[in-house]
Amino acid sequence: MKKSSGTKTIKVNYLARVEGEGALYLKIKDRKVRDVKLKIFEPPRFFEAFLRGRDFREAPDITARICGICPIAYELGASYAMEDICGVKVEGPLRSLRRLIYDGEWIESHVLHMFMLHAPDFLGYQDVIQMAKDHPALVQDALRMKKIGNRIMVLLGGREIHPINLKVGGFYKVPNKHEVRALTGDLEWGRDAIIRAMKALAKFPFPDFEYDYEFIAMRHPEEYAIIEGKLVSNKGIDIPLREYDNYLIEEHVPHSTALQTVVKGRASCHVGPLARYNLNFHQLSPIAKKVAREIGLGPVCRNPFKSLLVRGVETLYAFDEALTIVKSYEEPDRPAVEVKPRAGTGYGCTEAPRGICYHRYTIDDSGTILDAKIVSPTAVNQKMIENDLWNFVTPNVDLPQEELQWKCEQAIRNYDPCISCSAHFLKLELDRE
Amino acid sequence: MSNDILVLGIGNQFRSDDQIGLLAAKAIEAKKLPNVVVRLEQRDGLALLEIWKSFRLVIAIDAVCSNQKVIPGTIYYFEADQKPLPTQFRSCSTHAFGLAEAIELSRNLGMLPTSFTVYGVEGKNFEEGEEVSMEVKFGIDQVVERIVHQIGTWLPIPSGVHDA
Repeated sequence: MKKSSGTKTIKVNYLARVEGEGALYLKIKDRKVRDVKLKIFEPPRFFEAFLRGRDFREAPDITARICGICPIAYELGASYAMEDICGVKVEGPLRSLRRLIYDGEWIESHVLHMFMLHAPDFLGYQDVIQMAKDHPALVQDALRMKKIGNRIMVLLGGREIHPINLKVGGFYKVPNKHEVRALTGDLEWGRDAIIRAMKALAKFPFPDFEYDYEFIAMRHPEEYAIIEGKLVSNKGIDIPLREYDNYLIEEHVPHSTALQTVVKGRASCHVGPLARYNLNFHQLSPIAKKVAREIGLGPVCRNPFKSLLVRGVETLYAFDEALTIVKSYEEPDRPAVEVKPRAGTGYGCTEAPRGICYHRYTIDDSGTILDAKIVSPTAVNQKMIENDLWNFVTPNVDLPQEELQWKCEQAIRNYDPCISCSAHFLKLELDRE
Repeated sequence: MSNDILVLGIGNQFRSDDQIGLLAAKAIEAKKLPNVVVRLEQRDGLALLEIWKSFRLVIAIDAVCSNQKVIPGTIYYFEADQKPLPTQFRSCSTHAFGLAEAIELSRNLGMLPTSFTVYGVEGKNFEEGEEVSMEVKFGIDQVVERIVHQIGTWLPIPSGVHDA
């Protein structure tokens, strides 16, 4: 903290417990917020550029490398876009397996964020290592839940980080019924464990903060959308995926190597667990809805700090859905649908743990990729994080410096930002005049 | 709870000297010592915790990048069951737990193996690549020799003694 001639500056060299590298700059003058910049200075990764010239079948494996936490979002987004171009639908047990591996990714990613990264904020611990001393059962259960998510990823994907068994059209190899059924005990334990944990999390002190967000998520007529659907918002967006670029505009700002997203003609938007929950609450499984109500969440939640609880609801949903899939699984007669290339442009979007993850590709007749566009959820949320900081700090400018800084970091972690995906690490600079 | 000795090699095979732990563990595996289980781990610390939680005797080997003027190949020895690893063993990654963090989480959860030794070897080059630096190779040979000696002092493990 620096103080000179009426100016106060707080610098935090590293905001811990986020994925990747970046910094936050906050300027306060005359007790008012004057500037907020989420600075992302991680070098751009050029995935879209080096996909050009590659075969369309390579896209899932290449894009999986964008993220070690949510590779399925990239693999399936790319696969759906290619299948869209080639006129292929993946249905039946293969589609269920896609949902199942996504449930695994949601479980491992949500549990990692909730318990290892976010929960320490609410209890005043520097990290989960310190939290584990006082709350060993909570942390041990979390570790086991995460392991179950990983186990699903390994069974279907070959390994939990950058799985190698997914392809355009389905899978290289599918598990047999016995292997899938063997998940049952773990999933039942996980479903009970997350319910227990949510009851403990619900007692955390949540800052009193709400905002009238434009939430954007996918919607599917028959299920809580994860892998397919149209795009909807609570402010009027209701469009097929191919319209994405007409509504969501990416902008370059000098302080970030990740492009920021705004809704055309409006402002920033919010994607992720809160958006999905608010837009598709009615499609959660009965047990997920019941537990949400029991812990005091209504069908609408506009408090981003409570995203911790909403992730819990989604984790419960994922365990529950995984159980349903596992119990009814019948081995498909082939591991993948044949996909032949044809020239065209296609779209894929799935609900990554952090929100919608959009893919658009153009390929030629031989299947060579001519153009690619990939938008990560953290890139979309970037501007909204700045917006939240602005709105959250305004009524809290008089908080002691250290507390304000803590809360700002907590507010950023509401979004579970994966800066690595969006362009990586946060340094917080708070400037007061 | 296993009575075997876990030798855990940690690292990334595609990051040059970062694979020191993996190579040393493989060399120990090749000696086919009785009561020794060798595991190689390239994932994050949370996975490490899962691996060692059922063992009482653990020897972990990892590369060290101390960012100080230390001669590559220098060997470090820590009794992690006694106290936390020094800061140069802390994870450089924001993305994942490292060995030091996993040890501390284990300790705070009351799950740390009774005897937990960590050997480190100072690396030189952590860029992409599958070759280790010449200076480091000698360090790997030395660390293997020391670990084999340490295991020798534990063997034979009397049945049931560690379940007490």
